Amino acid sequence: MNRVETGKSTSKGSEGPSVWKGEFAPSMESSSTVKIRPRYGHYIAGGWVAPKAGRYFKTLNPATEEVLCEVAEGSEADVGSAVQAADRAYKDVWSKMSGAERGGYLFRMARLLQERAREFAVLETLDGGKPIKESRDFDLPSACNHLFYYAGWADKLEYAFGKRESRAWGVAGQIIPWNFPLLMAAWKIAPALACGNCVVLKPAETTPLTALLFAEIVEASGLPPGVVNIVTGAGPTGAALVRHPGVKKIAFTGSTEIGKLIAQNSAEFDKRLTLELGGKSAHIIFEDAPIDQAVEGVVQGIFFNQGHVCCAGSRLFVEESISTLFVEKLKRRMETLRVGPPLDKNTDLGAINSKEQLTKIQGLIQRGKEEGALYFETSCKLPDRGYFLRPALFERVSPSATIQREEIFGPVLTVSTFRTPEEAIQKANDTQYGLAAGVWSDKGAKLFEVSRRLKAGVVWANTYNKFDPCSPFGGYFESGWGREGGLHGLYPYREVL
Amino acid sequence: MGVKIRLTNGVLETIPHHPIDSVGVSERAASFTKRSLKKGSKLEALKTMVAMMDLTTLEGADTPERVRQLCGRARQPLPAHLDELVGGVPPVAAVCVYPALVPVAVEFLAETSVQVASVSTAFPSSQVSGELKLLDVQQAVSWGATEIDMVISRNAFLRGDYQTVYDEIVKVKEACGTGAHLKVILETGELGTLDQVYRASKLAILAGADFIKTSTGKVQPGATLPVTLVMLQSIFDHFQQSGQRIGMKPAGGVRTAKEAIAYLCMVYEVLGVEWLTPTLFRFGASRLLNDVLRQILRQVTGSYYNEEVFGSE
Amino acid sequence: MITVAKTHKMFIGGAFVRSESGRTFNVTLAAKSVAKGTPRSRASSAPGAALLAPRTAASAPSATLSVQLGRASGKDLRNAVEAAEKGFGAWQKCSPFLRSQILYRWAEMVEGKREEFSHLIESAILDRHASSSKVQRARDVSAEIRNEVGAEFERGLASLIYFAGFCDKFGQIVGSLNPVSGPFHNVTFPESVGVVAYVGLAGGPPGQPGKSNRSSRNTQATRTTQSTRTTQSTQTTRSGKIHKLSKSGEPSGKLGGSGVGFGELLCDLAAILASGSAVVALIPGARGIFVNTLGEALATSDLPDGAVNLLTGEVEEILPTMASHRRVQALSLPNRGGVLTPGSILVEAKKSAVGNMKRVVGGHRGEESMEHLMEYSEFKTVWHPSAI
Repeated sequence: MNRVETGKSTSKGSEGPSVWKGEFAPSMESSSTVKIRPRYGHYIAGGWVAPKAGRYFKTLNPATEEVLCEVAEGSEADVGSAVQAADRAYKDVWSKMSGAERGGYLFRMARLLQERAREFAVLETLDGGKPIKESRDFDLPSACNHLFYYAGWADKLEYAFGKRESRAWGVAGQIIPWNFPLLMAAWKIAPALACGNCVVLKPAETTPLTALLFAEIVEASGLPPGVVNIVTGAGPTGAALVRHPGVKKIAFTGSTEIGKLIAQNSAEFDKRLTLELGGKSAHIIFEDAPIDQAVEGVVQGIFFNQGHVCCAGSRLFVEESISTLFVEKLKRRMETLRVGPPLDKNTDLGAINSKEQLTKIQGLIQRGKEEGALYFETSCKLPDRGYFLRPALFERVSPSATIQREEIFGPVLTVSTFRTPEEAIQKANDTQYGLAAGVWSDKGAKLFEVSRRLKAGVVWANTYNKFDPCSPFGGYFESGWGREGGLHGLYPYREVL
Repeated sequence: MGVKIRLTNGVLETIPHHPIDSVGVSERAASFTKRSLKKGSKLEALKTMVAMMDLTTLEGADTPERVRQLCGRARQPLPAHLDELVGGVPPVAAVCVYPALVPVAVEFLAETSVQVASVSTAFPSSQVSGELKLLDVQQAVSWGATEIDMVISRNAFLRGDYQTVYDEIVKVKEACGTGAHLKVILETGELGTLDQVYRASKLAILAGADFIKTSTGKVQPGATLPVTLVMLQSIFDHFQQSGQRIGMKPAGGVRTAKEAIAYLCMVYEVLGVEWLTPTLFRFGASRLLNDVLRQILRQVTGSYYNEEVFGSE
Repeated sequence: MITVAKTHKMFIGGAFVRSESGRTFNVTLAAKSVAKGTPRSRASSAPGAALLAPRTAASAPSATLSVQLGRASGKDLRNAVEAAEKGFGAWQKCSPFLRSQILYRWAEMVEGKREEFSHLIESAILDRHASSSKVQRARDVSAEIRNEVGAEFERGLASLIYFAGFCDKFGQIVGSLNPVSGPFHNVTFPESVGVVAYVGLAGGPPGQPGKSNRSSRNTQATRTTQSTRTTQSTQTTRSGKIHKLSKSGEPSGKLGGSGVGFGELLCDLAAILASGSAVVALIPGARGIFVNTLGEALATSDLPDGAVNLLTGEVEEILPTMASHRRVQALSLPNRGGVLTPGSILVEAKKSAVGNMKRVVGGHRGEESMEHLMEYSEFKTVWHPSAI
């Protein structure tokens, strides 16, 4: 219904409608720079060692379901070797080193990782399924920045603990998840080392490869052997690490279910725990919000990284007076999201990390439908193999519905409405979790007050999913204990005397 | 704060306050620069850009001969042998000149599909009487311009006299008659905030603009992705409410094909495929054409050509 | 093959310039005549060394370094302040984290010029030894000097890295959310002071070589008061004001060491940059030999032009202009303990600085500490209602 009528006639050539209709030819990032070995051992005491029990397991590319390689299955004995190596390194070398020197190694690691960032980004995408656009532009820079940031704290710890003397714990056992494999490794290793600890890291079983490649960075930086050790494996390997008496400090990021198990199993020991667990974060949109930007924030909040984000804004609360308009805009924006091969630079949503996770999400979606919510998914085409889902949302969700209470950890948003700020706050806080929350409004006073009243460790006002090495991150209640990032991220890694 | 306007039909209309978060806008705008167009899609997009271009010369030093050469370029962007090599490049959408050069352009573009766009209303400042601005338009139209690019009165806008801004646009639209379409230049670089840009967009559309345009090209910053995004969003909101499709033209600041691709991706995702046509989207540019042509040649032949072989004016 | 001697220039607005006045002054650093196989012969064959006098009698000191340095004028200072304002704007646009990265890059560049800096440091040390009345055995001198040079260089480099790591941290340590009584959101955070004018030491008495920064932060290193031939040979004898600057009172000696001042200079510049401020620094007298090379390292560090400006010349001439310049927000003077002599150049400067209430600082020079950085900060507090 175009009201422009130009008076001129066309007499030469074809002035007609344009040729480009919005198609994108595949634009694949090359994976030729990444060399994956057929098989990996553990990285202990500065060298590669075969698993003592001789067992390996496969890791797949979730976009193609192809096997990438085999990695070692860490037994109790392997964990023991690693802890011993870390302990030795701590007592003989690391505890005697000045903060400036420790920092020097971290600076080197940050710079070395920056040099090989593209290689790591491609590997991250291959192993985990996230779009190359994200691993290239978010995961890798953030990981480098985290290392660089904490390097600068190593020789300034006297400013972090006031007048109190402090010392490192010794050996820190660190268990990380599959949603941001390398980034989580950086989030764990950096503060631990800066504070003078040595580390045994256990990457997630579906995404071990970037951590293993990181061992090359560790070596190239000249870090004394045993300061960083990497033991691969699944749940039992992690459990062995948690149980080990030589590990005083445990840091875990993963599901609330496992976090609780760890806390229970550690009850009789004097173990220091930090836990970054699940979430079911509320995303509140007031009628005086910058609407188009809020739509964008909601989309980023739940569909970024296929929704595999602990702080995903998975429960939308929109003021009733604008809910129709808002949801319409939201659906329209969702339709422009491209689900496709993770190595394609135009892909917005990559593969779901594993068959297991895919099944879990599908199960919850089914539950949602059964419990009476109204399901919507976009109409995009999915690749014919691999684990993929379309971005989706549920309307008409009741507060007690399973999909409203349980963490889905996928690209699925629930939509609810509210009438007043009080109602929004009450509904947002109605959860056993407390990791993050988002709130959108043009009114400053309202934003500050609502932020204050929301029971969440991170509140994003007029934005969402923003991270910075100096910004502390962590949750209330069942979203975990402790903070990562910033000055506050040092606290878990030193014993105050 | 909402703005009240007395419309031509006597109704008192309120343009409500529409808050915009500039950080969010910048982030979304930046995301379009990451879109990667390759191979066939890229070539299509590049040729589309040429068809969408308003080839512009707005200098005090413009003479008839200068404009005649520009028109030659407009009709046939590439010399024949190169044109054949790449499978044909369409003529540009329009040539954009000062009113005094309109007769020249009209003469040299007769019997072609290239439109003659004239700036008007005392472009670029608009700091003259309303009568003079209207006379400017009338003359351009009478000399044969088929597109009028007017400027809003920033004087009136920034002092809060939105009614005057509205009334002027209405009168100019009347003066265009049925022979010329109206582009309204907001001069976004002078408006200060994105909220103001959105407000000006709504005002212009309400008053009868066929196209809303970012800049005169005489003030920095000119067109940027964030500003364009906000204007596209105002166009979308208007379409939702009325079913009417308004056109958009970023001008002054789009210099490379790479940047232009980001704009096209943005138009596609924010408005939809219907807007991917010169009837609804234009690039106001002069230097852009050469870069686009160079990219077209590279896509087809694999080599980077130097501009000297293009026959630039 | 004849060596290509470096022309020493000042570093202003990211460019290497001569004084607009065209004036220069000579710095000749002499070395005690020593036996073969000692630093001197090493130095004279190192690149960048400009040989002056041919080797003559064993008893006469031979030159290891002789250069012409620009003698900055008031106009140079004015240009530098303008450049610093632009540089400040650009430096402020960098996020604190980016500043960290740039300072670390500067450290990388300085490391890359280790040999050149070592040669300059060595020349200064040899000169000091030459002017010292102590007689030392050749073999002892060689090893001791090597250690001194190394320590001085490492000290400077370590400071750069220290402050590089502070840019994005100190805000969290000193910033706060203030629990005011009332429905308000109230935050305090540090901001950069702006353009800083810095006056380097002209050449101090030697302190204790090899002393580390860390311990010196907690203890007052004492400096032996000695006549400073270096100073006297490079500056005109005026009414004794210059001497007072360097001789009387006790510079805190926080950075103990050779008195060469390289380490301290890097430390002080890094602290200013880490706070987010820009600097116009006068490196007077013989210490000006570091300026060109330091400028080169800065120019290749991605630092915005004008964030650091280095002038060479005389304190007497430049300090008054610095102290009265209204577009300078802070003035860093060589740290002095005790009461200053009325009418001395420092006292006049402090009085002049009162014109626009400049922050007169310098008590933490040479320190790797947050307190040093904070001398170049201002606190801002913002209130906002918090209510539905």
